Amino acid sequence: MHALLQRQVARHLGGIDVTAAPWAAFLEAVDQSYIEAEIDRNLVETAMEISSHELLQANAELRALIQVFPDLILHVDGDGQIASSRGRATRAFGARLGGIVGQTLRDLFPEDERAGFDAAIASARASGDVVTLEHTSHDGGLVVHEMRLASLGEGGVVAIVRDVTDTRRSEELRLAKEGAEAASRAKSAFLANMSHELRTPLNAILGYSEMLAEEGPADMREDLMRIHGSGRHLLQLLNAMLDIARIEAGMVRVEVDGVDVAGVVEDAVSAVRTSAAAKGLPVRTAIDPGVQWLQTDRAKLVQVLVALVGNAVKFTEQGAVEIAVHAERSGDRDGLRFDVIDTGIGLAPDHLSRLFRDFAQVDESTTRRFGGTGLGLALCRRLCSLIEGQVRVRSTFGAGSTFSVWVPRLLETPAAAADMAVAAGDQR
Amino acid sequence: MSARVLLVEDNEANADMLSRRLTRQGFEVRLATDGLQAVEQALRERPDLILMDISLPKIDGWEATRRLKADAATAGVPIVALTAHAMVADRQKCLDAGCDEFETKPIDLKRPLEKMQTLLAIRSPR
Repeated sequence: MHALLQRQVARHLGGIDVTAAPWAAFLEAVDQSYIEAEIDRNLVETAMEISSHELLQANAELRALIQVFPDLILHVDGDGQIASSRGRATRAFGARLGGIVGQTLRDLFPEDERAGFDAAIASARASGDVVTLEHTSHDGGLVVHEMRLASLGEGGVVAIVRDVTDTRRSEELRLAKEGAEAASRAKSAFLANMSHELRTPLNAILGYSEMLAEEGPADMREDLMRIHGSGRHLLQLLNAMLDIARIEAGMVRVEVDGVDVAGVVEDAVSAVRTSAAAKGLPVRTAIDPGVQWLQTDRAKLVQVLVALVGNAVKFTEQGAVEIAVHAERSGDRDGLRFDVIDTGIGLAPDHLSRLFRDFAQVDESTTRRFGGTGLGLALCRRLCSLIEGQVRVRSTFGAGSTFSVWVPRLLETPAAAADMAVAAGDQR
Repeated sequence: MSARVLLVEDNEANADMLSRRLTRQGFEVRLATDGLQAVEQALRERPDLILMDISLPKIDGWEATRRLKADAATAGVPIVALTAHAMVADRQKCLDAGCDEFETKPIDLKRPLEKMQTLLAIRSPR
């Protein structure tokens, strides 16, 4: 007999013989139902235990999720008051979250932004869409939130607020970058086109003037050569200008290779051999035996040296031009210094400081006086920085100049690669 | 016998200047002023060498070169691209199209002449 039934029989039926016929059948039926009820209760208890364990587990999972979500989750009751807040404090609300419970959602916003917030919430409630809220944080920066509303019935909602300021900012940066890249491509296309448009008529000018100078009337020869010379000068300026623009547009590729120092110097010397010989100027070279090779972009280095040696010959009437090369460290980097030394007219101190600036900044007197060298030197400076080098000048007015190019001995191949003018080095 | 050169150039001044200078250098010069005309003329006249401008009406110099190099009758004719385009990418495009040499405008006549002589010498060794 069930233990509870035994106690009840003892308490309520006292001395009655429960084994007697009418009681026995009745009590057995009651006993049976007690046992069944006991089994049922055990089953229910077990089930409840299991589901409450599951509930706890699900709850823990939800908490964990809320922890990792970058969201602030606010439970707002039917009166619009915040009943609870979980998740991350956002950078805008962070300071205000302490006493958030009991406030209304709009209390989170500065006074002047509440009207906008009300409108956004109304539209979100109606449409179920994500609302984007932009407002000014306490430190004055722009803060952007996305708010999702989930209805709980009876007017209550869960507001899930995510700080998307960084996403927005990187999106804006990405758009700005794409815009800049598109502009750069447009610039490149414009340059390529301009290069073509300018060279075509120049081609005719140079060709006709050269042809006439060779074969035309002798008394016009000098004038024709002057037209031809001016055309060549224009071409040089055009090339320098286009080269600078291409470097600026990131279209110039640096191609690193093992380079033999004597060969580079010889290339620079042979570029001026004719013009130096015409003036009777010796061009000397002095290469330190310890510097036989380097790793750099040969064409860029030669272009810089040719421009500098060309200037040296141009501005020197008497004496000599010399190219000297020796090893020199710059900071913690091994490098080579190429000195282009002339005994020419030299440079006045105020010209020295302006020398390597952009052509736009070279004043008229400089341009007149130095025949547009500002453009060539501005290009030299850019070419040098492409190969991680520098160009400097020392000069005494009236007593010659020394232009020094320092380049690293081992230039690594840069990651960026782009288009490069073939005309850069071979159109002079 | 003087070498026959087909000059393909749409700019009138450049075409006139170059053809006169080349004639004076002893070449027999024919002129085409667009890409299609260049292809037709080359197939008909079988020049010894073609000087090909790149920016041309109808079809550009790259396309004309591709067509000429694809045709067995003209595949062996050396083509020197003459272009005001000065980018490496353009140069590569010329070579990809099948040009044998490449010269950037404005040109010193001396350099393309040397290239022409070399190409002509390869083609018909004396």
